[in-house]
Amino acid sequence: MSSPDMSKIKELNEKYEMFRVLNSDVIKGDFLFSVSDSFVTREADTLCGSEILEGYNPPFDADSVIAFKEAGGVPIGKTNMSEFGTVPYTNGPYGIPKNPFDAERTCGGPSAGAACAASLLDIVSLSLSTCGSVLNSAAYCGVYGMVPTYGKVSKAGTVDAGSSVDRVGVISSKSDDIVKYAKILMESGDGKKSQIKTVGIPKGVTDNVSDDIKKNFERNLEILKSLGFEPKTIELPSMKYAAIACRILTTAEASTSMSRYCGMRYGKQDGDYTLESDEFFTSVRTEHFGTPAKEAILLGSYMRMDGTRERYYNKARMVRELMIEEYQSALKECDVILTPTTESAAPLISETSEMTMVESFSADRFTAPPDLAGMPVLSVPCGYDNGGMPMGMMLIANHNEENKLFDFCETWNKQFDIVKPEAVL
Amino acid sequence: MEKDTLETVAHNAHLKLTEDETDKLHKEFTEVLNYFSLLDEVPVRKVTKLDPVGTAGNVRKDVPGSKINSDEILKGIDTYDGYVRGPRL
Amino acid sequence: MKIGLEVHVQLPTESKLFCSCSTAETEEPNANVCPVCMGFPGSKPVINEKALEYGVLLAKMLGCRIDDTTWFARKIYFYPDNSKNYQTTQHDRPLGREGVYYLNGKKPIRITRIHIEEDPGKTKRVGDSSLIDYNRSGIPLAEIVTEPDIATPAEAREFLKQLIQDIRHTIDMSEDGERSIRCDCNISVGKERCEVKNVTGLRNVEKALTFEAVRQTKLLKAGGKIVRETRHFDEERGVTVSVRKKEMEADYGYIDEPDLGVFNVKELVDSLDVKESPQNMILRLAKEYGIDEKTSKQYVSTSVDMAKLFEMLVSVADVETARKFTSGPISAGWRSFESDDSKNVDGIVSIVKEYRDGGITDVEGNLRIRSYMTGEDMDVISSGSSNLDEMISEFLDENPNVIEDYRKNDKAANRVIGHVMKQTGGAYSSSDIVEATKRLIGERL
Repeated sequence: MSSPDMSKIKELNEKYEMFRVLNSDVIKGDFLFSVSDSFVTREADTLCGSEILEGYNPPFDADSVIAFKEAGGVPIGKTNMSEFGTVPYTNGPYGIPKNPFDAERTCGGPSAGAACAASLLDIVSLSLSTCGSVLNSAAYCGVYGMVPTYGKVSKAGTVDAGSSVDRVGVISSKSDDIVKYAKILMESGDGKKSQIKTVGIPKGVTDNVSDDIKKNFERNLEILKSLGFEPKTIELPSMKYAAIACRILTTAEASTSMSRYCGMRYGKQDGDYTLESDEFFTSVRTEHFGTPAKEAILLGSYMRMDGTRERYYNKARMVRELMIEEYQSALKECDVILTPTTESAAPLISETSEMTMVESFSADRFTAPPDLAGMPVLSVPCGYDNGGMPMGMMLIANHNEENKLFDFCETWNKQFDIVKPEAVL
Repeated sequence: MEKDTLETVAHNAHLKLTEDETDKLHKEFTEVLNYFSLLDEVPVRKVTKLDPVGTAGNVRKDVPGSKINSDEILKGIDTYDGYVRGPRL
Repeated sequence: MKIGLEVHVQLPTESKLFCSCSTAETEEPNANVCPVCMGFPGSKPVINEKALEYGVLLAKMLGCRIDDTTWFARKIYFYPDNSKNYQTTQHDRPLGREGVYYLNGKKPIRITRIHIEEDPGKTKRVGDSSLIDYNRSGIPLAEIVTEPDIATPAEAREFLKQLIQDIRHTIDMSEDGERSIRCDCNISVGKERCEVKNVTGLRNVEKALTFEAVRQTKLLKAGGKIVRETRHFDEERGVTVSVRKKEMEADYGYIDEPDLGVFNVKELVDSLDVKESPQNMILRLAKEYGIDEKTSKQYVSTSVDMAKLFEMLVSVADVETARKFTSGPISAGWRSFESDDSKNVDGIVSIVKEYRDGGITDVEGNLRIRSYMTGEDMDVISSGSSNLDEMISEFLDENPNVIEDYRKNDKAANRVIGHVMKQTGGAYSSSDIVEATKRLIGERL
């Protein structure tokens, strides 16, 4: 393929702010990809959306970046994300990715820039799914998003938010690209085709979702029936607990991972060394961390403190195992589980900045539970609301049954007319 | 969360909050913890895994050797005479 | 008085615990570093299997209960030498628990737990700030925690001495100064205990504990109360000092480490065998062969191989013969023999066999063994040594109390040695004199 028109991409980026940095030297290759700013890359520094890591440019590539390069991929830049992947909506400081369908609306948080880039450009985006972020952002931006089973794709070179939850995922506007690139990451060849017949629908799954999402979901169920699938109601009572547990674990683990940022060894090293060490660390961290990181560190530390650890951190791990049991039990009665990807189409950016923490957590209602359980997931674009904003629905398969998702992807794509945003290149 | 607990947490996490920030966070966290308290309904059970799939640890043979030169490691670090600079102890 | 210790021992692996950086000593700061041990964001740890092996061996040596699985945890505390501001260590599932170590082969010191963790880097105070060298960051440590079963500072020192000897033997550690032992010492004279953190070396441990014992006793006698606190040992002044109270308040906020996963160590545990510890060998030899513990201690301390040779000679001849030759010429010549690759124990054994079969006398046997081991000419030894032997035997005849005193304290031999050295004025090497003296005293014990 020919070299991309970097000047056009730059122009688009001025408006949509999907990339924090574009690579200056983009060579020819077989395909182009973007990399979330939480993946370590040689070509550009890695900031994870935070000022405290400014200047961090270590001499190695993340394993998934290497896998793509070895397959002929060329990285074009680092995409914007919420600070260290800690909150569901990005709010700076390097740019807020604007929704390709409506620039007043959000693209999500940890995977915002990745989904935005996949929607506007003919590329695949690599991103770390944190508390369901890959699917969230894919749905908001009207593209496909896929995350393989926990542990299937190497996380070496990714800066963790929640080490026991985070997974590497891919986002693309093309369904066969999703399948192709997910397989490259999984280092798996073409497995046996997996036929899906029964689709499990959790009871109450359309309660408290927007009217558009509800109507769209019900319409799609009819479409699935016409395609030969058999919807079946299942019970997943622990989903509401799982969404909370995912947030608790991610925050608790992230607060430990972020202890290392203290004005020494990487990132900002501009503190006053004559200060006593505790003061030094406090001054650098207070100055250079944004609000999202601070909130996550404080909340996360409380989750694992002596005296509260049992109630939060440990209970969250118990909920994980409970949720996995529930999923696996349900998946004996059906081949895959189907839910909407988000409660509504992408909110207005102005709304997200007014939200309380609890309000913002509702973004992951459907995507966090399977992320907690490490289940392979796929979000497909499945409709457009009254305002023309994309909506997505997602499938959950059992551990290591990615082939079922790939199969569905192909079937769905054959009959769904994906709408590209006007601005698309 | 008690306000002084929040202050202790901030102190241990090496973050300094202004009065306003403390007030705002205190309110936010109270709401969050309220929301999280839903987990109290879930009965206690044994935790058997560290992650969703129970990853078995990888081991490495005891062979020294580095793929990356120490110069490259120290390149982005504030050093003096080969030592990493740090605060007063 | 109750004393408990948390002993930190560096494991002698070639590469670090979670990365392949070399553990070799180097003058250059930050020479053996990589993204992992420098805590670079995005780096992931991978464990060194040798460290797990050493850990299992030590856990077995300490008679610990070892579960089938073990895993790691993050212990968060902020300090410049801590490259992630959290230490990857073990919390909920240490490698071994509930063991026991027999001090002097008799007094049980209960071992609460043994676990593996990474060492932090090294800080250096410089002017108004600090400089850090991360060469040590990530080196594997075994931490051994005892119950407060130790009774005195002297006993603590002896415990450490024996423990270290056994550790060195179990995991093939060489004698080494700096790669030494660090202890956190807990001591209570009354009800409340204090912790003296990070004391390096046996002498300092004894000093620090002694100072603390005195401090606490004085305080209690004056009607005061001991405040439970963490203290630091100032080596130069020989005193313990209170550290800032706030260090006590920090909560480590442990979480398990998902990046490393769970390790199934059952196979390791089943396949690894712990060599008999030197302490155990000393006791066993004394018991099995009816020799003095002093003697078996001297054999094992000189060299476990020499003690093994003693056993071989017992089976070839008898206890008395083995003891005579081992205490005599074999002990004296061991150092030269050990360093010579061309020599082996068969040479010695065959000489003893000749003696056993009546082919040579014991005096001849001594000479030949001595000559074989050290390479000295037999004639030279013989003319010298017979005179020397006469002189010493004469002294012992005139001073039989030396033998009795020697039973209590082997330093009594110095009286003989001193006398002979004065008499002979440098005609014999001190090692010759020492050997002959010990041999001849040994024969009279």
